[in-house]
Amino acid sequence: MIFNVPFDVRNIDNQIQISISQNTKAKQRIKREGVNEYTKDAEGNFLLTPHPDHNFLVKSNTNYFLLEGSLKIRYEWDETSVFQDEHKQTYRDLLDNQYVGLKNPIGGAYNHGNGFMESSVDHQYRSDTWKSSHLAYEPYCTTAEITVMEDNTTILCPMQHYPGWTFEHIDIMPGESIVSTKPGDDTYIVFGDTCSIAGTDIAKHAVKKQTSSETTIKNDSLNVCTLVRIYK
Amino acid sequence: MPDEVVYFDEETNENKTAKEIKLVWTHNTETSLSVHDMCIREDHEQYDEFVLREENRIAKKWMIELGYDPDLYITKQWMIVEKGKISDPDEIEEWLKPNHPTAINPITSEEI
Repeated sequence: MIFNVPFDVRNIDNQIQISISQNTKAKQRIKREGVNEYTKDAEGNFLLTPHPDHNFLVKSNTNYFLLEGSLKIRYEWDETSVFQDEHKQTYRDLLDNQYVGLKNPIGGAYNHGNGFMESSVDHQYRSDTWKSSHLAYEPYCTTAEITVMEDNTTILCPMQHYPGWTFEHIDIMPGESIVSTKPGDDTYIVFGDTCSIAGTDIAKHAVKKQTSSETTIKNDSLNVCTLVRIYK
Repeated sequence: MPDEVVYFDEETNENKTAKEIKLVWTHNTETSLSVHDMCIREDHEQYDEFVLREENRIAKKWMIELGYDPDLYITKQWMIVEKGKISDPDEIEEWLKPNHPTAINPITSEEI
């Protein structure tokens, strides 16, 4: 494992661990160097869920959300990997289909070859409705790596103590508002930038528990603000 | 015969002489790598510290000459390793899971 991205780590109500990167520098990275390094829950269980149609794609407990800046994502595979070269296009198609209608679909500078694929992604306005992580399903492959592409890139990495949580995000343009319903018994919102609710300021990177059935959130910053909603 | 150097001994407040040592570093196998040298007097109080510092500097320089990106790699005891590399299985296991609640006190989040 390679891990040199600095994170501020918070334990939210003993339910969810919220890690937000801080003061990142270009070229810092997180790399899973083998299938035995997929993340786990608090009991040490892998949380791998195969895609219903494609066994070479999995969901894991890794739920990265980009809140600011840009990243490069790279996957590699060898002969032991479930994911192989012939699965690349299927994965790309799945990403495209999953995010139809987004303003700026994921998949910027895409590069691939035998045994690898990589793409850069920058923080932009993409989704005006609540959507799952871009990386909800990822190749079930040998190694995976994210590299910070510019200083002060901010990554949110929520980890669940126990499985069953859903992770979604939405983007808000400066000065605009969105509505969040309360889809779970326990619902948390992580604020990617400065916002307000009914005139009350919400600090950048705050984590709030939504108890009202519906709340309107306004982006008070000058940037595109990403909210991440986590519920069970 | 090595050269002699004059130095001031702060304990005795005297000028003294000592042999000058010249250290030369050449890589064992990669002859294309730069050659480095350093002079220091025998029994210098900070001999080990200065030599170690110079060796670290040389190791980094050789690493770059070999084509490694210093933003991604560092040297440890003449070995080139990736920055942030975690090799200890117990340490890796800790990174893969959320921290134990006793390691990070829970925060009760405000309600909206």
